[in-house]
Amino acid sequence: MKKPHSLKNILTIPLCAMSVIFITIIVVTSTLIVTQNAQEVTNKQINVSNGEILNNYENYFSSAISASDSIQESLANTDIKVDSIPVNSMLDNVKNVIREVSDISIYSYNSIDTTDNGKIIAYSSGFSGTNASEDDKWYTSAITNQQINNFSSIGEDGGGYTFFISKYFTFNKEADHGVLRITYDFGRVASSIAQSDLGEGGHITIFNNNYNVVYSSNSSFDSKELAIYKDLVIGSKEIFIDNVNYVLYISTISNTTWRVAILTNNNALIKTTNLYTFLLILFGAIAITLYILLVFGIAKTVTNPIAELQKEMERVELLNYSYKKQNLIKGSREVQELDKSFNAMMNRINELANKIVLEQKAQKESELKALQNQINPHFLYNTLDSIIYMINRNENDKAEKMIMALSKFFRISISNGKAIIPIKDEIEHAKNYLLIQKLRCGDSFTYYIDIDPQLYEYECVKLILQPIIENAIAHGIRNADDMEGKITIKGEFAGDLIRFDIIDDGFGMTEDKIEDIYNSFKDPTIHKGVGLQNVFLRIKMYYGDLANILITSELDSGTDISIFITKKDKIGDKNEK
Amino acid sequence: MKNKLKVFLLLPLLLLSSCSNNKKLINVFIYKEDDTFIKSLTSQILINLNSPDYNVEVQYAAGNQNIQNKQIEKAFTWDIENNYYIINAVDRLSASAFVELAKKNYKPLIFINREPLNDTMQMYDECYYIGCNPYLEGSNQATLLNSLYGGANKYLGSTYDKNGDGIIQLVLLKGELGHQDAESRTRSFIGKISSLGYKYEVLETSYCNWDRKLANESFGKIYAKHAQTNDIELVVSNNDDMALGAIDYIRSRTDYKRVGDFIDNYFPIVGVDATQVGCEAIENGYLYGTVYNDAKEQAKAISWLVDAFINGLDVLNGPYEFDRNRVLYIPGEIITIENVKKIQ
Repeated sequence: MKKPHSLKNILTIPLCAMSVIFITIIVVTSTLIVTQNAQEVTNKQINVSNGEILNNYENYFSSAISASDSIQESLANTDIKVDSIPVNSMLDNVKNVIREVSDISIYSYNSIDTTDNGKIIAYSSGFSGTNASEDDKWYTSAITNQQINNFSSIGEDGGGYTFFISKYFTFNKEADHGVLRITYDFGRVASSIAQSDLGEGGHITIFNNNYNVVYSSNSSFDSKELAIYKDLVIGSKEIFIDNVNYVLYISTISNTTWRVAILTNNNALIKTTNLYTFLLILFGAIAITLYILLVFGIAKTVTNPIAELQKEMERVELLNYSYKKQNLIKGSREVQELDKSFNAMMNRINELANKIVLEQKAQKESELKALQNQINPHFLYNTLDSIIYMINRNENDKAEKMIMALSKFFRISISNGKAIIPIKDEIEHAKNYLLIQKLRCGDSFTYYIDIDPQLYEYECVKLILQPIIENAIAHGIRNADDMEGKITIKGEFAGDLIRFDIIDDGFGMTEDKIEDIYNSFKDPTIHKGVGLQNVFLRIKMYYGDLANILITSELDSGTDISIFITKKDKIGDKNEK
Repeated sequence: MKNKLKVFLLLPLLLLSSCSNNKKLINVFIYKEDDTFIKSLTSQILINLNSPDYNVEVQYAAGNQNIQNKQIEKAFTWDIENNYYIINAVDRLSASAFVELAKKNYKPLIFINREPLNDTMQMYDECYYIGCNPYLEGSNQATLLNSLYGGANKYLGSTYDKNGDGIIQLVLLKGELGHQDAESRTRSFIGKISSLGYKYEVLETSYCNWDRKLANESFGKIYAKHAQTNDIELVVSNNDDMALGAIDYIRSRTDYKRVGDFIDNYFPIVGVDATQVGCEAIENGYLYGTVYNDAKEQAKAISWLVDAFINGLDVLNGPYEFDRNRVLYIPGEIITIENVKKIQ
């Protein structure tokens, strides 16, 4: 058979398993949720930041364009060639208002009469250029795309972080045409953009619709990246460059033919989520360990006292009923109660064991006493004297009868040392005793025996009738009178019990005498009516509470001693029959 | 991540829809919702493309190119095979990105109303532009005035030549500065009027941003400036709304007479578009004439082109003649009091 689990295991294993499962689920789900959320939040942040960057550019360029527009608008009705001085100061004003503008200049153009083409007709302060020529890209592209503001690549025509916005326009009431050029300093915006945090390796690249790089915040821009840009066109996606994860975002820049690509390092996010996952697992593991320790601790405080109790109980198996002083076991209230009860039980067992030992001792003593009474030397001498007397008087038959009776009497008395004998034997024993006494004492008394034959099925404690008969003969025969004494032995069922009556017709007993005898039943130290007391104690010991001896007596008329015992047959208890 | 999820969710739908005879999704991207002309163009497109085989989805960008970028980018993410694209770009300079997307996905593309740069159009064989012809509209303005004046040689001394110098003293009301249509219409008008033999003098040029109210204010100032000399002989506006702005000002004055009345103080005003209110003004005699920016015809051409894409027709050998194999200008009819009923 499989050994059942210990209480400790039953307590700890499911609790620990549960906690491990529970905490693992929490760790896994929260990791998933957090990484998902972090991804979303990061994507949102990246989107917002990209939007801001884009916005910066668009604002920048649209303010540049609106500067260009307002110049064109204000010159719509002006003949610049005539009024070049006020035009110059107007351009100066614009230049001074917009701090990124380095200079503004206007060149003439005529599609039919090309002689003056490229000739500078107005300019602001800070201008140090010359007439435009066919080689100037900003000039030719303004002529080609007359309707749009043309943005030159940064540093393409000028140098450093400057670029031109050039625009074909009409002035002097639609009569004349020209090209307006505004030179912008890109430095300021570039520096503000360089400050935006795109993570390690993150950078911004502006390129035109032919994928020529206009500007990149990454000084060592790898043109291989352009292939990735080309693949995406616009929008955003996650990409890997040299095993680094980036979010790439490409958008057009309004009012320009340029586009901006923003690369944001996404590794920071991965690092953060990894760190978070690591911490979560670490805390989860710590929580599980603490929990297991706690569960073990609790289990220990519960099971240790029980184990101690168990050790105590093991001593019972060794028949050691000694109990210890109270509350030596520390533990929960229940365990302490258990300990208390156990102690009480041990106490009780101890008491009972001692009682049994004492009772057995008393029984043995009583039996011994009874036997001693039987083997009373006086009785034996008297009997033997009687036998000798009979033999001398040649009353051999009588002597033989006596010897036989004596022999039977002693055989039954000893009964091979058995304490319980068949009722038949007990009656036989009484008969033999009565016979002996009758033979000895002549015809001073007669006796009658009236036993229900059904009683012979049962057994009883031996030597319960003889001591009482002895008393009856001793005290119940009124030798003084010449009357013949009469002793009656009756045996019958009384309900569930068996009742024996030993009736004499002697002097009887006073109430005090009877009271004394009853008292002697209760207190073995009182020695009154030794024979009755002895019988009473023995039947009580063997049959328990139901066994009893009742005395009914009337002075000068006789005494009736009734013995009540329970029915016990040869096999065992047949009370329920 | 999210897109992937969406694709997964949409996959069954996709399979389902692909089972159910490949319904085509026609994406129409409009630069903003509250533009009068675009509104009628869009509704005309919806009428023309109304077919059980097509789903037409119109998305508005609220005048923001970034919003439109996202819309278009999304429309190029899944089931591209059954998607078709009509784009009214917020910023025509952004068009190159869409052309690239279309080219990458082998999808034809139609731009409407705002014409991309020629360079952009040349990037891809299968991108088309359908719109009005601003050059023709400008020159038609000149043509309709020519028929009013009865030829350049008759202008001198006519009732329209108020100061009798034989030169048209005119005011230009221009739309957005830098707008293709504004510049093209003005320039082609100037070109045509001088090629017809007229002498002209631009008294004032005013940018009024296509706006009636703005035109009202601007023209008020111009009129006040020239009230003394009374030398305004013509107002040429890039659209009807701005022309109506000028008319609003004039009607608030008592010294202006309508075309039917005798004409001491009269000067003609011409616009472009033939909007509802524009036509009403023609009927009332305030607006002399306009050039029809024909939303109906444009929508018809756009729808024909979509059908051609879907049914694999040869676009260039169809009923329309494409300029540079890509660009289709729908000519605008001249509208005066004589034919204004036709379009109402």
